[in-house]
Amino acid sequence: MTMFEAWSFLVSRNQFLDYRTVVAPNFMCEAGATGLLAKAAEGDLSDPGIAYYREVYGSKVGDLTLVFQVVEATSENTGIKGSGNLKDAFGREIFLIEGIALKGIVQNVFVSQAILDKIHLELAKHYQEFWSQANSQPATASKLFALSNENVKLEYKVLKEYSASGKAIVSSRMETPIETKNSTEQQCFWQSSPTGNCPSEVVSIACSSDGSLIAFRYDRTVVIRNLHTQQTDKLYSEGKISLGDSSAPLVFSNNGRLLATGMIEFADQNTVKVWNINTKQELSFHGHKPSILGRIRAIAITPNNEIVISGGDDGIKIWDIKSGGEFGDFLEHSSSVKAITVSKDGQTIISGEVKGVIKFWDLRSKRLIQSVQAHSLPINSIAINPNGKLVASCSDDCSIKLWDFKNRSEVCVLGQHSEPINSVAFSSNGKLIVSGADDHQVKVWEVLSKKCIAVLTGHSRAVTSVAFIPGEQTVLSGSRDCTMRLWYRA
Amino acid sequence: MLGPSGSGKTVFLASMFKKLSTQGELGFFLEVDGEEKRKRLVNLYKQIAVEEKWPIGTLRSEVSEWIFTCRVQTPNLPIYSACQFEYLDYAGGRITDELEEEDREFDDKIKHADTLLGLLDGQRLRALMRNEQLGLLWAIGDLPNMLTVMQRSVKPVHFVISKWDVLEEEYSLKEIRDRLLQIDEFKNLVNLRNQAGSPIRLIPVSAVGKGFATLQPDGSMVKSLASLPHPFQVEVPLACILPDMIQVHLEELIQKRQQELSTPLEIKPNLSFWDRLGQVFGSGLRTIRELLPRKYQFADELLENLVKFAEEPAQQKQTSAVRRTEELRQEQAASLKAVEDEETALRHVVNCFLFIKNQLDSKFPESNLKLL
Repeated sequence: MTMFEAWSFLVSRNQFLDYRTVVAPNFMCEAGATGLLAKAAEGDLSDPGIAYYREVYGSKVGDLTLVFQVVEATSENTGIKGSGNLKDAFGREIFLIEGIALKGIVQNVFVSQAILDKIHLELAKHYQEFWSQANSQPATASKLFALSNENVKLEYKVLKEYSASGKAIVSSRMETPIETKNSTEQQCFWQSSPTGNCPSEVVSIACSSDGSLIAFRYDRTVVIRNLHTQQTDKLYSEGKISLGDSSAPLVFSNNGRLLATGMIEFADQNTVKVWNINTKQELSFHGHKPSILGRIRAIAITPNNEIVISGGDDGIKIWDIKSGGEFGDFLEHSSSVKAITVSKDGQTIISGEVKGVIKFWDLRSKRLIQSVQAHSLPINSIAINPNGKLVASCSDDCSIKLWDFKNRSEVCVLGQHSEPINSVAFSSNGKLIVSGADDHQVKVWEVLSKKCIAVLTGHSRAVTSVAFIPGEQTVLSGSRDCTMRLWYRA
Repeated sequence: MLGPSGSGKTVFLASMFKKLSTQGELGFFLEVDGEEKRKRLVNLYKQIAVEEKWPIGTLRSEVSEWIFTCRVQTPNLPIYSACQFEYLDYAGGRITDELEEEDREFDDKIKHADTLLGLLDGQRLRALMRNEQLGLLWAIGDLPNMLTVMQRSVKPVHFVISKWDVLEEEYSLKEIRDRLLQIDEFKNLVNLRNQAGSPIRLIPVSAVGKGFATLQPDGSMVKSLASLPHPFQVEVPLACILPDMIQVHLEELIQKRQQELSTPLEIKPNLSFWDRLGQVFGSGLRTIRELLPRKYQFADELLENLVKFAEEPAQQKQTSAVRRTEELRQEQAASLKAVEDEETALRHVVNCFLFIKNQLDSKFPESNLKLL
């Protein structure tokens, strides 16, 4: 005959006090963990011959096994004066949730009605003391008793495993082995380090294609930093951003020599700024409408490093870097543009708009090629992979989608965050995507398997911008928590 | 919704869903996430409406999250979703029990809620008004416990008086309001919210309506079962949330903007909300919209409506409310005809919310806890 160490417990309420643990195993009382029983022991009134079975994982006192019944509290079965069902001060009937707790996960324990009836008699005495309490008291401690497996056992109604820690449970009930992770997943351990605090929210970050330079923006300040030497230079600094101003993203040219963004300048002018990193020479392009009518929200540079494309509330404009002049704007009307990227051959511009539409434009003719209703809410960022075949978009609708560039058709929904996604970027080999969102998280996705291989937490506010440092081992993120972080794959 | 054990959270939930489960004159209806949940709510209401017993108290193990979608059925029958909200139901002892162990997950849910609705138990309020011990105990025990939780939040808070059917025969809302304001903790919370410009309301509701249940000497409520319940104003707390959230955010923006300006603007008294926004931002809705949290970046027309019908100076409140009733009724009728997608459905639902809110202002002007 198998014997187990068991303790009785009781969860109930009285006239005045809400449901709580009334009696708990002594080791749980000592550990201050009695509240767990009130949370884990639940269910409707038990049918005759049936008890609830529940495994509890990860508690302060280790794993537990609970076997219990839910019965109506009556004067007769509690010994409390009166007759019929006991009721609370509002006239609602009261349940007794009573049973046994065992340490560890014990799947071969058989409990009979006789055992539960026996412990009920003991628990009823404690309930009588509890009945008139108006103030909270700690649970009464129950002592260990020896439980022997019975031949006549109750049928179990098995409840879902309860995680006391809130984490996912790796249940001993699993019959199939955990799949062996592929090599990419096995390596998905990341460490991070903050790169230093900024005086204000980091609204954009960018990395040069050779991985030597990063640029970041807060308010109206643009800074570049050499990752090898850590030398830092302010390219531009015109003070704090005002409420109502927007911050355009930063973008490096392909050759790493130019950096571009949009800026609000004196007299509320919306200006495209381009800097030569080496000479610090600055170019300004004026042409967007002033004030809120022409805020710049998106920037891109063609792969040949010759043309800047800016997009915003008054559509898309094209600027020639060599001549310093406007090249034109796209002929068809577009609604407010929030994201832009350029195809690898430099011939097609891809824009993402406030109404969730992705548009494909021919740069030479400046005409619209195709329009796709991609998301239900504003698109915040668009990226194209290094081989130019796949486009990634992310949106306020919390999703990342992949698009076939050639067919302009949706490939799949890659994944989601729990809040709007602000930024998305491909790694230099195109195999990974990184995303940053309002949920404070950075996620890394494997393009081939369409799986999320890492969720990077550490920022305390929205992640505004993400990028891979070339080599796919390091991710850079900027956040409204005024920090940037480098995430290294271990 | 915060409230001690027995205050009526679960019954309110079931009655609200019942009243709003089909589209009637309120102009929209609710769907809940999942068929099992829908059945549970229906069964709960059935127990309330036709069985002798009330549903048992919510178990400590239950923290139910109910996600409701507001939907609109057009005259031509297509249905569109407008917006979603999540309602948290739980055992009241979680917030009143002094021995409650720390529950970070639950605390986080409270912390991240967009609005807190504090449920004031109508039975306990009645006892308080009659200076009975139960009422006094509630006023010095359960109520301050709840107020402490509410005070920690920076989000809008409203008070909902449950079991209004028990109170309305004997006391007016004004009398109850005045008595509550004699409680220091209550008055302090209201004052703080007033100073921050955050709307704060006292909304009487009855999940079962007048005449359905009678209060007994022992404190229990006995159902008549001769008639069905008629929930009263159970839709009002929901309707107030979105307009008030927008107002709170806009008020914050006005204050932030004023701090930025090198020469502070003199804000004239008795300006409408629209005028105050105009004075500080000048350039109109687009700027304002982009400064709002993403989930409130509505289309211009919708935002304009919300701002237009946002809180007015208290003196004008009731006269405005009466005047606006017809205007809002017409807007509601027109917006229903115009529903053809989710955006227009949301616009219609917001009009419905504004109409309901306006009705509250009109019938219960004392529900606005803005102190003069």
